[in-house]
Amino acid sequence: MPNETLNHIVDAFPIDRDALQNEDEPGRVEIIKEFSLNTSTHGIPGIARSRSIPNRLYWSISLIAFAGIMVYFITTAILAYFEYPTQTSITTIVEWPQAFPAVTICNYSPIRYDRFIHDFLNYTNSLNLTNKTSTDDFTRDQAMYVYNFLIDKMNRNESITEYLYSLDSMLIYGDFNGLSCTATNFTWFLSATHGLCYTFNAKLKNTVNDGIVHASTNGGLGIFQIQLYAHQHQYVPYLTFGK
Amino acid sequence: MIGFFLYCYLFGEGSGIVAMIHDNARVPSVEQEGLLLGPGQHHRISYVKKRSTFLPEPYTTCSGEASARMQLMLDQYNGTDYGYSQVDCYYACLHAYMYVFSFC
Repeated sequence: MPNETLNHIVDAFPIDRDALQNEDEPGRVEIIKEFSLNTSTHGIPGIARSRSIPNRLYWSISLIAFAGIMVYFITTAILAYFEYPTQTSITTIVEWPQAFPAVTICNYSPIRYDRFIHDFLNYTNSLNLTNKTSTDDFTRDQAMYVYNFLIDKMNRNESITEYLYSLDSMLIYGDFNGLSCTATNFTWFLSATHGLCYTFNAKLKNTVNDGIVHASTNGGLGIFQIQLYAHQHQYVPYLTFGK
Repeated sequence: MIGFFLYCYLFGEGSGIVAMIHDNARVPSVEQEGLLLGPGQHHRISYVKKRSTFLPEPYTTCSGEASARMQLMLDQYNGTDYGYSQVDCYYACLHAYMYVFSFC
């Protein structure tokens, strides 16, 4: 209301000018009281409405107490969520057809004595590591240098495959569910302790059905049989782990 | 890799074949889990399949994805499609550590 109008009203009616102005521009306390009486919260209007101190005290205490309990429950729930609890469930399922597992085989010994001894002696002699020239009696001291020799060979980007036991030389007989198996059914990799290792039925890239055969292939019971030749007489002494 | 195993396994004198049955998509850790089969004998190995499925992060610390560095190791297994496993990750880490400190 503009001041001019207000003055007119005051002139016309016998009322206090301040009372009119107050109603027009509510103070901060008024705003809070208005809010407290109308908010949808239960406790706050109770405090605002109360006319005696015990009543006000009762409402205030119960509001604070229950708000505290509420905060406690909410934080507990949030903390429980961020702990990401899990539970373990165990189920038994029947699966058919079942993939046959992968089978890996390697020779105990990583390298063949007959193929590697000449190159090895050349290496040890060129570095004056041992003074042996005979290919017959291989000593413990010589065995110390076998891996150094292989590392040196690899560092010069030369192949060591010729020293290793290939599956072609080991596989005498292979059969899976009555179907014959050859070295081509295996994938290979190198192991530091066993040299060449071969895996039957490994999951393959870019192959039909991932290259995996089922246990029930050819109507069989999932029986994989292989007969291998270990080349025991070609083992490099002191180099084969396992007893 | 070679340097590390050298100190552990040198001077053994067994003979035969190392064999291992494993999941089709798992790296065969023959050095750790391989069975040592002596020559001149018939060996029969049977298996039971158990499958564990874990929830991803943040429920567990598990991951099914091999990192780019670990993929380099998996690529050494010619043509295979092997997946992540914690043990392999541990070995890849060990090997990387050895290279950093020039053990071999």
